[in-house]
Amino acid sequence: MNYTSVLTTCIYCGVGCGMHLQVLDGKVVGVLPAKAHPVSEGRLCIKGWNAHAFLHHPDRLTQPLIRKDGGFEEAGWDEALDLVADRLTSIRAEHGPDAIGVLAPAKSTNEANYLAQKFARAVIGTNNVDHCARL
Amino acid sequence: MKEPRAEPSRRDRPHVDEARFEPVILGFLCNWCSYRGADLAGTSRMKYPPNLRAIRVPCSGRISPELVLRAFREGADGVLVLGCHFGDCHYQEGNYRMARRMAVLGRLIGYAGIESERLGWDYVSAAEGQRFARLVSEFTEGIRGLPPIATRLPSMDPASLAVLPSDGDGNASRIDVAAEGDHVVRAQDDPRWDSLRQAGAELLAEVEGIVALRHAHGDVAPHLYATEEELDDLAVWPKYPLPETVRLLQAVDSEARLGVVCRACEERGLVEMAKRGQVDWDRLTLIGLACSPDEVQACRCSQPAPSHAQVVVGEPSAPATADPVLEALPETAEERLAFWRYWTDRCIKCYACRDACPQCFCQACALEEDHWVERGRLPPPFPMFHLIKAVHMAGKCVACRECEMACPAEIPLTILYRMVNQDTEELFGYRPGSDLESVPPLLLSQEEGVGP
Repeated sequence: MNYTSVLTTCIYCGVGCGMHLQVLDGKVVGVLPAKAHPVSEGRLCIKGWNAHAFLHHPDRLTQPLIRKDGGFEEAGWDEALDLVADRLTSIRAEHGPDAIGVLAPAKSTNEANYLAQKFARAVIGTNNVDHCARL
Repeated sequence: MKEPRAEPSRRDRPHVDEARFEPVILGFLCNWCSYRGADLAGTSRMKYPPNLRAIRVPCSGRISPELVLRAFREGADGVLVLGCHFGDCHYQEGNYRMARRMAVLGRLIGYAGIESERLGWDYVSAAEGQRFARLVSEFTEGIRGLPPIATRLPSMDPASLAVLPSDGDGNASRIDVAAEGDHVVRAQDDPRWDSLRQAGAELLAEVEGIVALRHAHGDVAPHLYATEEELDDLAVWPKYPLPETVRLLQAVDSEARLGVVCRACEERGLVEMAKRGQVDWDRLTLIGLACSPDEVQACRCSQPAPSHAQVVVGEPSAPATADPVLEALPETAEERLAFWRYWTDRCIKCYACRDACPQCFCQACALEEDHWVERGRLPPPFPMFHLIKAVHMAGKCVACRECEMACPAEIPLTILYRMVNQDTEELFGYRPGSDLESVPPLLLSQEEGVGP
């Protein structure tokens, strides 16, 4: 039996509360608030307390799905990314860069969000960047 | 989203008149005695006030605290629970259970600012029509002397929010409930550290692992130590609900022999959990950790000395003599209600108080059931959420304060838990966590001496 706590940051919003994932035999089984964390000082909201719930959830998507004939089919990453690149390129060519928008999650890190806007502005060529925390 | 439930209805009230207040009284009558007693009173043409709405139940032992609280929430000015006399219960012990529960609940609502007199309970046999009429008359008169419940539990309109006395700068008095979380002592500097590491190393020879706190990445959290080298990372503070960790590990491997480094409160927690089949006490070896005076102060702890562990590390500190948070509870019902409305209206219903509590382990939690705690409503309407949690803590709360420390709204939750456990000790002589033998009172059945 192997049990430990791994310090991490809550992925649910931009506040960035500190939490310990409780890892039991390689599976995340629970969350504890990080009591010495400078941001959250040992407190979490209901989402933080349940942040482990989706990790091993059977409904979680674990590989890309491509819509074909009205249904979803499992696909490889290469196939999926090629399709996204092709479609983004063709939409941009046909309708212009402002036909595309980029939605970034508050759950991502600062760095990932920086990359997302960089991708929108430098690669696609649009200022259409938004994020879910504005909903 | 679901429509929030309507505010407590007063449609059943005969009429509301300041001069002649007609209270609504909800009666829970046991099918076998009290309801027959009521029948007899009726068929014998006895006179008693029409304020009682009787609900026939299979047994008074069926009346859960949640039902009583919901009755108040729905606008009942008083709740009267009537069962069989002791020894006469159709199901042997239902009325004993009722008596114990109501004794605790009656005092609890008093601490929350709902007058204790609003909850009555008594015993009526099928032959006691006269007694039934008398009890109902007396109870109704008693309730008539109190203000209508609607003035006690007004709508959750923020404008009606009672405010605590201010500190002069317009800020409501703040209560510092949470232990300081930000002083992670470098563990090795702690005077207890060397002996703790040594005790851990010795115990590792006998057990498969030791549950204790670990210092890593600038924070402290529970860990299962398997080797002596790992013990270099041992930490002592801030504390975490380690009994819950033990429960988690034993659920996966019920055969494993585990050690656990625990404070007095965690010892007590393990004792209560063992009594309720949540941990296997016989497969646990305890290393007691005596809290430092600072830690005792931070937790306002009244019982800081470990008493179950064979080995205790550190010198036991003197208990905290005063609990300023406990003293903050006002005296009168009106002030108490204002106090709790102020605090509970800050609740964001995050369930941290439940999740952090090692004593909350029910498979189905009453706090998640829509008929007790309305869904989609913030703050959760008083008194349901907080009083349900509090009554479930009777004879269970070991004062580890994890709930308060985890509460983002800093609600002084343990005031209610402490008061209700003082009562449990006074009424039933039961002190949670003190020993493994005594049976928790709310589960006990055949006991005399608990009456109205």
